[in-house]
Amino acid sequence: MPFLSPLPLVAIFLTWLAVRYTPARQARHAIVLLASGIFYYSVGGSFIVILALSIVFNFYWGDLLRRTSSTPLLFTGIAVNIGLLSTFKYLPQLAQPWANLSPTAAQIAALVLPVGISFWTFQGLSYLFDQYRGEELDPTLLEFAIYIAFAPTVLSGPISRLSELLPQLRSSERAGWSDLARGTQQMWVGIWMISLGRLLGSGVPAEGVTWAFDRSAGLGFFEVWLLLIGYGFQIFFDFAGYSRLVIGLAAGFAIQLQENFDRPFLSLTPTTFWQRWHMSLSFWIRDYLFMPLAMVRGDLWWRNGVLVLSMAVFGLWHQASWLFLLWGVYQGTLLVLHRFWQQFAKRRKLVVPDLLSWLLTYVVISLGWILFRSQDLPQARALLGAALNPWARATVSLPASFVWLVLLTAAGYFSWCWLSERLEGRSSLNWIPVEGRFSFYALTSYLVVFYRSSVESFIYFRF
Amino acid sequence: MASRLTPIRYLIALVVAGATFEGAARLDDYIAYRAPLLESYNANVLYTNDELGKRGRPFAHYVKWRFNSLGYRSPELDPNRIRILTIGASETFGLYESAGQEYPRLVEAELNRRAGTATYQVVNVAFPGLTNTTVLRRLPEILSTVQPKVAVIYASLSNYIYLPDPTVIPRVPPQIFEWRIASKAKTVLKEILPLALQSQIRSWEIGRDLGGGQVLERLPEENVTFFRLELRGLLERLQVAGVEPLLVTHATRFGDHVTPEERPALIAWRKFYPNLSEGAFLDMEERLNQVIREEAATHKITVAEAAREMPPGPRYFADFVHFSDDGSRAMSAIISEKLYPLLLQLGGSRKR
Repeated sequence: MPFLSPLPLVAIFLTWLAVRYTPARQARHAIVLLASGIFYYSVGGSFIVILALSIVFNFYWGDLLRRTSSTPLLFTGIAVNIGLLSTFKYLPQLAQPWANLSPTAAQIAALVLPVGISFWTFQGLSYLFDQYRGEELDPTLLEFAIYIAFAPTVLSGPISRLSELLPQLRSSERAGWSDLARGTQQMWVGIWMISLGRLLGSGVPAEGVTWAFDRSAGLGFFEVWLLLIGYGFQIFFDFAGYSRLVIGLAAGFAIQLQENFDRPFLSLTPTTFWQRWHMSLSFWIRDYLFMPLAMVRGDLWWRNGVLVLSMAVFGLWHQASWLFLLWGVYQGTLLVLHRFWQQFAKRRKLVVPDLLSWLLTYVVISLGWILFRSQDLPQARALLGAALNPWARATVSLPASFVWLVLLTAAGYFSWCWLSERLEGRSSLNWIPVEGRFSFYALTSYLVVFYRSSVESFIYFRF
Repeated sequence: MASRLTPIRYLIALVVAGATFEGAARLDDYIAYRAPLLESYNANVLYTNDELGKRGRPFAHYVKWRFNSLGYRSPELDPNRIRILTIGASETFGLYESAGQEYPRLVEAELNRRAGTATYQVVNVAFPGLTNTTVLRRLPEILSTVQPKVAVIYASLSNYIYLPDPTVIPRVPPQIFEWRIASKAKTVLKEILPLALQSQIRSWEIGRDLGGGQVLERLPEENVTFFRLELRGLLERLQVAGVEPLLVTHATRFGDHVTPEERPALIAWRKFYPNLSEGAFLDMEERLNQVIREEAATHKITVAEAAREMPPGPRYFADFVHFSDDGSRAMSAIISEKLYPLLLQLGGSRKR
């Protein structure tokens, strides 16, 4: 985890001090950009050149779009960004089958993905769309560069919007000690979630979700469902925890980032789930892909088709693979089915109890993790077969430690949601007595320090 | 709300945080190793005391180390195999290697591979800090229970920097309360602190432990003589008992000289023996290894030249003298190369 070693933490604090005590806004921005550049270089190395080129291109192209609102210019801008993303993200996968036959294909297949490219390319694209639409955005190059390369978000989001960031960058208020305290508290929550996600992945002592997926061929009905529940929590804690950490880090600098998760496993419908899971990408897809396309025609079949297409793009954003495409189509189909159900239920005046609605949503979303996590189609087919057949018997039994880990995590998560809904604030820990908070910080620190070498890397860095 | 808290509440919160750390460490140990939650859990749980002093506790286990019913880091004795003893200290006991990768186990595997059947069993009676003095005290018991045909002796030479007092019987200290979180934190610190900083800290500790005391530029000759006499005593006792000794010269991470990159490892070694100057360590190794060679020649005993044949460097040594998995494999090859022909030459029945 790039932020969680002693050196980066010291560097972050020094940057914070510099920003805190620098009166001139421009100078503060320059410090933030310099720190972000050093950070990106330390993680992504020479890919910083590509990041810089993307910043310069999108800034001037956006400026051009603002002045002309030219559709061909917009499509050229989109093509350049998608071309850049595809070159690194999709082309190597397409070239892989021919890598042994052609040296050029081998070179393409060996291309390494620049860290965070999926995230900052989408930020660049949203800027072009916003400028084309004529939104009141007039960033300086420095402000735009911070928007794209801001250290907390450059690696894995949340995908920001310039319209949200710009007023904050231009605020005369400087980050204070209270911002730092508030941000640090959120970072602790994020670290705790990440640690929990990694614990689920690696297991206690070494038989977790990864272990179980490696032996998925022998799992039966109950084992597969337990694994899916475990994986759902693993990816949630991993990514939502990272988002919380990043939001906390930005909050320390008095920058309020968009939330990325909002208790998604409490959703009563698939539609609500997608308003609460990876919200920054979900809303991006809604605003810049689904809405413009859906408005082209008024027909129901068109809108539903666009919905499935949008979710397919959502899937492919992760990786160009059949499994992610299927996952996206599956999620799109769920959304369409939910729409049909809503209309049907409205006509018949049917009311589904919340508990049943929640359970159905949880089951269908969890089933989708098979497509998200499987290594290949045969593995996905085998897991689906076991998940849909209550009589499927296991030839591999899951260790008791795994069963307990998943059950306790699920119980802990839902209890926490229940508690936090009834007590003050969802993200703040201030309602907990100071002794409890310190105990929580100690436990989190323990997990970070002593499980750092035995854990898997952050799942969303791959995307 | 926070601003109304009294310092006492913060103090209580700090105590609660400390207790949480300790509780987490204990729960972690319990989950990973089934360690007791309330009792002490450190390497001393492996040992107990009897009239001869410290010995392995039967069936003890601690982290990756497991003992058999005799209190040795070995499988249970197999009555149908020819037995080989390995006598030594921490290098032979195995510290950093993965479980089952300590060289005595690899030697056993190699001998049996060469024999084509499970003919041989290596019984590892080594413990960290074991000197020949202690071995001599316990030798009759070991020989009567293990009944080996050959004894491989790999003495830890630095145990002779401070002459052992034969009248003092080493004992396991009584277990007292320990903060497990402290020992875990120390381990993590060792992993994350830059090597240069660790060396600085160790140099400071050496200076502190020395406390203005005299630094020896060379291992005193009387220590060399003491080592020679003890080794000779051990060899003669083994030979009288009909056990063929095989001597192994002692290898270090440094080979025949210390490179500037390897100096931190030398400082780490010296931290245990601050009274010996840095330059005297390899000289000590050379002189005591020479004693091993001379005694081997006098008693017509086979020598495995680990000192000359073990490749130096961090790939083979996890610290100054203890093996990594690769080092253990290399050591096993060096010993097996001498031991297997010796066993063939001795021939005879499966047991002594």
